[in-house]
Amino acid sequence: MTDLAPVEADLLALINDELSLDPALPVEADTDLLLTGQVDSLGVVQIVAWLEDRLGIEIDPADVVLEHFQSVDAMIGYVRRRTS
Amino acid sequence: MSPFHFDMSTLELYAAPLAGAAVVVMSEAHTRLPASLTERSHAEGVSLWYTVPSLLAQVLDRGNLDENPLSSLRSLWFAGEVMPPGVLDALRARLPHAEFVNVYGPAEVNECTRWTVPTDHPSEQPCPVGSPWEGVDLRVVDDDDRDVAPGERGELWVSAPTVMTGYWGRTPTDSDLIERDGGRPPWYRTGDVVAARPDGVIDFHGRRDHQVKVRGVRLELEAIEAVVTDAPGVQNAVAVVSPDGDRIDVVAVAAASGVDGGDAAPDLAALRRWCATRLPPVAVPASITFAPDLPTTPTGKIDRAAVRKWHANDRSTVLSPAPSGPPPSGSS
Repeated sequence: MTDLAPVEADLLALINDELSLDPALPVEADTDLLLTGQVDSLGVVQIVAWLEDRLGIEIDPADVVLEHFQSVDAMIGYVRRRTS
Repeated sequence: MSPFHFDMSTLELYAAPLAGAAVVVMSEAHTRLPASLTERSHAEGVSLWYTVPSLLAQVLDRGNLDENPLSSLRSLWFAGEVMPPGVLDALRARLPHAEFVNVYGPAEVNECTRWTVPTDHPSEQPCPVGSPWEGVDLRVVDDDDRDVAPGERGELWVSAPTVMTGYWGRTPTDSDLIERDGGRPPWYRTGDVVAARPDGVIDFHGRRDHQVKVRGVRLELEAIEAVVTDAPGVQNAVAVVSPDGDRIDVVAVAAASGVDGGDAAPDLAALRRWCATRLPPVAVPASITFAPDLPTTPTGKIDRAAVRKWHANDRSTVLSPAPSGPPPSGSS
């Protein structure tokens, strides 16, 4: 089973350093990214591409929904199910 | 589906109750995740959608319409930017049960024209903005404020009960609103270039000035450039809409790069944070490319057309200032 701790750390760094629309509000693993407006739809697309690349998986557009992408925790939970 | 600060939301919020319909409020999160947007719309049996073409393009791309085919959708209205013909063709093929309506109206007036796409509308054809709504009068005028003949291009003026009283905190000037005819709503100069067909249907031909629309939000390129140019280490900047029309890109010149073109470009992440704290999200440049210099027109202004062309096509050509000639004359 893939160790997802480094993936989570790198994903948080990606969001905080490159994607966040409001750098004054740091994103934590449980931050609601979509309600706080930290990440827009282009940011979501970039996150999906990053996860696919990093983990060598394909993410079906039908899976890119609130329950899987609302927070970094949700994303890690989703990829854990996909990679275990 | 539109945020409350966007005037498109007024149609949903006011017209739906008038028609005895319920409004399903979509969170901003739904509009960022097209598959969640279609899932909820399908489950709620939504009968009318009103949104911007760029969101509809995302729905086509990643909206999972196979599982959420929006079978209750009767009418799909779009406004806020030009509908790309390819997106419209694909939507009509995916949602054959719905009618499609192009709506037009600046925020200063709100909706003022509409055009229902006929079932025999040929593919690859742009949509006109259509005919005026009830209570709306239109004029197409030339630079001397005279009406032009049908078929000729001119600026669109709108008179309607919904025309704004003025901009917040600013006294209306003649360039905003023209109260020429007593007792009727004032005319608003839209700044949009249009032409009227013989039957009165209006075709849209673009903006008069440098205002642009990105993802449905109207932006002033000059305002973005001012923020970037103000950042430490930046000498000059030109903002352009990306070739796909979906974001703002910036071509900038670093302050420290002198005639030798020294590699002193500012830290891109820091520059992006600078922009993010000063601009609305949609205006934050998606990319910032550093060029040795910016080309200028004979009057010494930055040659935006040349920058745009370089950005869209051929970045291998080094951007350079126009050859030095006689000093610019005139004040324009």
